[in-house]
Amino acid sequence: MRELPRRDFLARMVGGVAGGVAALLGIPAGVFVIGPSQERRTGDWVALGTVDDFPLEKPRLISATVAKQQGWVVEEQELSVFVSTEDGTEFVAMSDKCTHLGCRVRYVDEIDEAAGPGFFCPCHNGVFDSEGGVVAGPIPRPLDRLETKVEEGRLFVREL
Amino acid sequence: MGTRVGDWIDQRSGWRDSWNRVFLARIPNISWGHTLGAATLMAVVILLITGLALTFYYVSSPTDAHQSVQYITNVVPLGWLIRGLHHWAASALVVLSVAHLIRVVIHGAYKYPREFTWFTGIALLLLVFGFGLTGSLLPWDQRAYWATEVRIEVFATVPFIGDWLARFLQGGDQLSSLTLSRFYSAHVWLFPLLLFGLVAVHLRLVLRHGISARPKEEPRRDEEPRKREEASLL
Repeated sequence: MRELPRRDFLARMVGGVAGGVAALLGIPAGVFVIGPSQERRTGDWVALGTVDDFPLEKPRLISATVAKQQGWVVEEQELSVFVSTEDGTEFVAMSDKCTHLGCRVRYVDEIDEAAGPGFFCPCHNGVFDSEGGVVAGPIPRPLDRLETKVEEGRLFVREL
Repeated sequence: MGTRVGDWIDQRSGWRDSWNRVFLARIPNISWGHTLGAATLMAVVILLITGLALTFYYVSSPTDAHQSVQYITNVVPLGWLIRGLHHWAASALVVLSVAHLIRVVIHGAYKYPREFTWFTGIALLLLVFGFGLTGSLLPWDQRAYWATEVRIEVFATVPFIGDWLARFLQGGDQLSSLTLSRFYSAHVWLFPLLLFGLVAVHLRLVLRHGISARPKEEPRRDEEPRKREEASLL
């Protein structure tokens, strides 16, 4: 084993302690700054209306005000959802936020002859079919869906 | 590998010269008291890092300040630790600064050629008090509010300019959201910038002059004749 001079040993000790102190301070600071930013929370159930409010023929865009706790502030936010139903008992709720870059999509009765009705995003010409599936444009995935439930004739949705 | 990267950077920056000048400097026979300056600097580093982290969540408005501090303490992971470190390092900084000052006085280290180092040190001490004054208002709780109220009343007793000074500190005729806002600005912008500048000058001067040797205890040359004279008077 190579002999370690006293001077080098001390230099290494000092370096080690300094590194330890830096880690002791730096790691908690990093954890603190990341903080609760990565927490995923499911939303609360939001009432959108009675089941009769939603037509069978095409999706209806409906908005509700939701109180959301962000940090120490409770913010009133608007939740916009497309609700479609085929029989008035089973409901599909889709976010109106384009999955490409978050613009708001709108429902169009006939986008073109081939595609038929669907959702259109004006920002980059994204096209979804009427169930939210990808048809054309730079869209990476179908429209996000919300959880739905019907209680006493009223439709509730919840963000996942 | 480490040395090769170090060499590459050294050839282009000469960092080893600076490193050696700081860490391999020849120093006189020193005491534990001589470490107080470095300890003070360490407290400053801890305050900088934790303070920077705290600004990620703290909001300096009267409606949010207290709640954001509660959020930091109770919700953010390790928030209690970061806030606690900032709080206690602040107290430690005051104690260490004053201890450092006392050590310098006892060793006579403020004398030629180190007078200017001493002046920057005194300015730094005042700055530390400024940090304390402005920082203790920021939690915006009862203690912060009333302690600041009292301190501003103290400033108001300064002859001639007291009233002007109190209004200047408060940003108006009473302690309000304007006070909180300007104390925050001073605490995180103005004072840290002044601190960087003064610490840089202070450290540069310490390197320039080296560490002062301890004063020697030599018997005074006129000691014996004086003693004889005193004895004859008795």
